[in-house]
Amino acid sequence: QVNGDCYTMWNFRRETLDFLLRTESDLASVTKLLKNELNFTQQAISRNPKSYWCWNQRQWVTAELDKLSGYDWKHEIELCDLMLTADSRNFHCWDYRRHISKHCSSSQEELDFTQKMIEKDFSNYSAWHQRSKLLPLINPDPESFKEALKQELELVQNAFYTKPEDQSAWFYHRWLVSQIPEV
Amino acid sequence: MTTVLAPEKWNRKATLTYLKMGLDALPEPFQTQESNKLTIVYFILSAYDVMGALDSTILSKPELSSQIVDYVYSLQVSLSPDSPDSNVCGGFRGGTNNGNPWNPSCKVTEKIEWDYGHLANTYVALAILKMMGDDFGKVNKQSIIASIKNLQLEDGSFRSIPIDSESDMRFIYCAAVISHMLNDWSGIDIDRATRYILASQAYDGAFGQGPGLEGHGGSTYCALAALKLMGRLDDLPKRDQLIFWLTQRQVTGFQGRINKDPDTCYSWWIGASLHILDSFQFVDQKNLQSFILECQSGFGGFIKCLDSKYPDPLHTYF
Repeated sequence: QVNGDCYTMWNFRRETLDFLLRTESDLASVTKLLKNELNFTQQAISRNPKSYWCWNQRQWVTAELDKLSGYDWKHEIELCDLMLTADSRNFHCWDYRRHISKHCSSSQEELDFTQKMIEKDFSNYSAWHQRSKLLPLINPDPESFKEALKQELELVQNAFYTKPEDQSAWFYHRWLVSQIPEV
Repeated sequence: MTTVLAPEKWNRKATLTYLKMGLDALPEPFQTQESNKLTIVYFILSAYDVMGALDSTILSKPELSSQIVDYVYSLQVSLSPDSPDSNVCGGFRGGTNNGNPWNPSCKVTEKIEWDYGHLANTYVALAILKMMGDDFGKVNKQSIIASIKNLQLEDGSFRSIPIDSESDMRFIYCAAVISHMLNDWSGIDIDRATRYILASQAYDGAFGQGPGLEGHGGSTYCALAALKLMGRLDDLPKRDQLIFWLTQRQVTGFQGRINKDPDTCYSWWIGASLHILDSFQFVDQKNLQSFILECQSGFGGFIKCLDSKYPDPLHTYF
């Protein structure tokens, strides 16, 4: 509560939990331990949304819960939705979202999410950046990538017609244009 | 009190007073920085150095200088060279929060649990010693280099400590600077580190903290500086695009990412990046200076941005 970045404490906590997980045989009490830790990390993240350590700990806890009895990763999507509503540029959260989305969300669903973010605010460079990563994944073959580029060009034109002074769309547009000769 | 004492002029005296206050004692909000306190000491001393005031405030006072050198050396992890932990836990701690006994002579001590050097604090420890004119006589070079080697991961990035920690661009930079200062590169697999850096370049030419992450001023500096120190700057693709991205970070002062507010510390991260790429001449220096001067605090020192209430050593230094 005092210091979200005291890494020794996080490691000590994790080692202690790890020991309990390995030595405690009752599934219910082990699950309870991990769920308590999950809540604890949620509080820590809310208080320190840009602390590497807090996000790391949550990553570890969710992986352990999943190993134990399966985890509903949609909870993590909800957490990311919440944190990105508070700060749509929090790159810790975007990175965490990239990490957990492979468990529960398709690249197309993630692309749709970035579209929602962009339509809320064309200045969200983090969302545009995420699209630059998702497009090649969703469209691995040149033909479908070419089609996707055309649609992106329309989207980005909407952005800079609406907010011509905003850099985000112009940078993204440059990248789109640079992809064309390669297709 | 947010600002400002005559924004068109730099009140050097107020800055020096602020820096001195930081060396004597830090206000309560800084308790969260206890485990990295050494980096704050570095910011203050290096700020003195940049102002040409290191001599008059510190070096000309033998008792104070030796106190600082002792303090830094007391934070070195000093294990027996025969102990395997010496090749894993070497380096300097960031503070005294582990409760280690005072040991400025770096006598060999027993290993204590949870006690290890931290890459960023090893970097600033060496930098402070260098500024103080120390000859690194008590620096355990072998232990540090071996420990750095142990911190590099398969993907080429570095952790900061030898147990679980995040690994990203900041620590590649720290490892490179340490190797440069100790003139020993055997702790870094340069090919792997370069691969990680280049994999972290975003579509706009800027570098994120790691692969997949958004381009950011801080990580861009770390990437470029590391490449330069490792002799790999020529491997940099999209150089012109990156220069363009960097110059476009100037609003009045520099922002760290697109559509963020200008922030005084990016005067360094972005400014130095442009300098590494021989492109600092594209900076509108007048605008940058007037933004920085607007960020002078009534408490002395500099604030992060125009909405900030209080100054801090990091933003003052950068």
